[in-house]
Amino acid sequence: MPPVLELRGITKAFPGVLANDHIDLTLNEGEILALLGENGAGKTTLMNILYGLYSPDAGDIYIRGSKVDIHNPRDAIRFGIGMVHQHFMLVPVFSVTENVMLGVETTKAGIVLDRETVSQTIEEISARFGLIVDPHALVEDLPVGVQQRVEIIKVLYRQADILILDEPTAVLTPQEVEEFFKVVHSLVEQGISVIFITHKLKEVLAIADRITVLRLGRVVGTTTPDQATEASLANMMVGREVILKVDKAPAQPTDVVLNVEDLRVLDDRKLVAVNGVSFQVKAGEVLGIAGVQGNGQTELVETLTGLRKTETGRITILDQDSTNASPREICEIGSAHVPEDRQRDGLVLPFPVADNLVLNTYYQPPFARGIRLQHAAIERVAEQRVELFDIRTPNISVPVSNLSGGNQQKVIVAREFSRPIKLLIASQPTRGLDVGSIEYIHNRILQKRDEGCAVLLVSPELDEILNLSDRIAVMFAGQILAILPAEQASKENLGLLMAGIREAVPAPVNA
Amino acid sequence: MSEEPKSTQATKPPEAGGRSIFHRIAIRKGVGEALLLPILAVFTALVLGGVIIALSDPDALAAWGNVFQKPLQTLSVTWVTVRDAYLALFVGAFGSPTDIVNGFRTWFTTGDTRALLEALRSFSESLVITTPYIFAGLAVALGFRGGLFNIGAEGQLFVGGLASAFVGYSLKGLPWIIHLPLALGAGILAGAIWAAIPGYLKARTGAHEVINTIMMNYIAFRLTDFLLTGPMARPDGLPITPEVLPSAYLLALFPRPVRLHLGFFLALAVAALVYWFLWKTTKGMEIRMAGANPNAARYAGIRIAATIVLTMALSGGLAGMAGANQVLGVDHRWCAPFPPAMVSTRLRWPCWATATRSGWYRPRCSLDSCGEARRACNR
Repeated sequence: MPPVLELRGITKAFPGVLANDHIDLTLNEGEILALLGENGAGKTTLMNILYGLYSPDAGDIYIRGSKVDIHNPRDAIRFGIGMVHQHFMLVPVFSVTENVMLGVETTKAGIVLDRETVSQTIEEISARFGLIVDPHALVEDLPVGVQQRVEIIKVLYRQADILILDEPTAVLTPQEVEEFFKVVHSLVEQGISVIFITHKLKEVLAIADRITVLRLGRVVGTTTPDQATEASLANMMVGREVILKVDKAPAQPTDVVLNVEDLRVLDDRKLVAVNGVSFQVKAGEVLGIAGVQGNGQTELVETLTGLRKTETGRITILDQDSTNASPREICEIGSAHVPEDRQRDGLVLPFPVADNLVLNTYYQPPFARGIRLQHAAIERVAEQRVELFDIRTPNISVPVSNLSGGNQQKVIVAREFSRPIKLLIASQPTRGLDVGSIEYIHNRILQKRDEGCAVLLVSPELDEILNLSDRIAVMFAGQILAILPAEQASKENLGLLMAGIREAVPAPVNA
Repeated sequence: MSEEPKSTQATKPPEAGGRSIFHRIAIRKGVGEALLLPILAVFTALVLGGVIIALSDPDALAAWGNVFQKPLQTLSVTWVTVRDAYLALFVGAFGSPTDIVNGFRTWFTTGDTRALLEALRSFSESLVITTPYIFAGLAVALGFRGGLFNIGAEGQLFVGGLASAFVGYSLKGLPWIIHLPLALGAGILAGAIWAAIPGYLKARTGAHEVINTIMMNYIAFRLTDFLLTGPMARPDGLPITPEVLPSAYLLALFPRPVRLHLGFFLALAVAALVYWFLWKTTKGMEIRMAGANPNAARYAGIRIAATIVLTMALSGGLAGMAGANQVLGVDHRWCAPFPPAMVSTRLRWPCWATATRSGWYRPRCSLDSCGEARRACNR
């Protein structure tokens, strides 16, 4: 029996770059094929070709043994190919049913929408694949994990039997990931074939039947989870030895740089998000804040960096009272901020790389003299930083939106780390990045620590927290449940604390 | 590998953000493509306009009745009709090349400049009419860069014109060098304040500037009505301000009938100044940053509220200059707006409702109900 899907010699060039170079790929019926590669390796381009969003320069696509031409997503859907994008394509104010039927509306008498029939079909799909969702709920009321189920139902409703999942776990919490894996397994049991795009090694090993690795637009190799390890996959992806565990010397903490006392903060809905939090970060140490996203970490970081008002409590940075100081004042004290959402807060995407490299220092010499910007100085410094931080960009004048996620993050890191800083507040600094970039940014953070910078690291990724932190605080429901020295922390006790079980730690050490 | 365009960005060109105008356009599209679009737009307009011209010409229409019998004649009649219409349009806008050449010849041979001035009049009028559009276009463009839709250029233009006229006729005995800047400055300031109010409301409460600037337009019209019939009323009762004193005139640079005045060159200078401000100064960068990504601007330490008010004030100041330009350079007085029913409330590019001697307003004037005042103004 021929494979469900076969790509032969797919080639696609963009100006200046060969995104896909003679890619061969096979997907068998009822299997989960993981497509692994760094950001920019060509995974997304390949899938967009398969989904008809790009047309390949060369190469053929075969479905169940016969050659097909896919010119647009409608063709792809006709051939049973469905795609769930990383960023969901849902209308928030529509119900689940309305979102599912959008574009393929079932009607009564040709004009009246027939929601009931569609709802029933959705319930059938839900039951069959274990995708539990209320067809009448509004999408905006649903958690992200459930929204993803709606996306999958949308594809199944269009009777796809080849499902492409583009970085499906990037937006999910660890619990949601487990739920999601169950769904994928039940899809496969029902005969659906799945292509799973990711750069997370653990997930690949946990779920895939076969793994195809891309690098620089080429297939590096295909393997199975039995034969591969995280290290071997990382090497294939990056093309060199990758150290997944960072080596670090013991911390040498000195003076207190950041002191937070009994901080209370409200979120946008005026509900208490941070509730009586106190901690200190000393120069030369990394304090990691672990916790499931949405337990007040975002609001805590925003308050520490001046973006959100303090309700009660006190923040001191380098002995200066910084409670309710402006972002610029805090920045000028010597505090750096790597924001959680780099595209929302950290970069002005249409601006050139050079301007983004001086986004919060543009008004200081040498970048400005009086009110006049000194473009020559900005460009000179930008060239240096691009070189020093290995930012892959054609030149410093292209909009930063043209760069890959990892390089965008390097722009932020280059900007923040090039200032003389005493405090680094890094919120999910490696979110959505590939192993090569993660390794790089982790090393840079530790380098800052060893230079005597105080580092506050906020991340929902336990591996990252355990790898980098000297002390670990766990946040749950706006409070810090415990602060542990790194040697006393394990995935198990941190996991329990993240779930709000305080008793998990025999003797919580308060710092 | 990092240069690979990401899936969403590869399909559309990235937004521009480079250094010079040329550089930015080139980054965005490549030079050829950048020029292609405006050229195609003009070409399409000419073709569509040609269809309408042919349809509205009796000879051309008659010829099309015989299109099957005499196709060549039909085409040639149509061609002549359309060509003549566009030639007239060209001559109306730029003047007749032969008249201009003859004008120069007369000037060189006899020293008499009247023929030349008469020949240059059309082009001069085009520039005179263009001038307020340059100011108002700059006003809207600057607001856009800051992420703000200043739809109320019309109202800002009104208060600007009114303030300029007031300073222009009420301050007496000042030398030109003081009076003109004062009158101009008054117009800029009035426009700036008029736009800063919706700016402040946006910064403080989030009230949308599109709604508020439009509402400010109506306030500006009624304020003009009130002032021209009350505190600033003339003895003859016409809703027109008194004549601006010559010491506040934007200098006419040539003898009549060429009306080209200093305002046009001022507009060009201000365009260069706006470019310099937006791209070469820290404040300009802050405005662009706040417009492109307010979250990142806040992160970078920019005070968003203050930047919004500043952007609106600058935008309004430019619109106020458009009004000041009309008063000090062309009309030398300010007139009451047309009745409320005539004011359209659509979203639109800056357009306005001044009744001027240059006649851009004539089609509306003929529908006007306060005819006497209008005629006086359009004299």
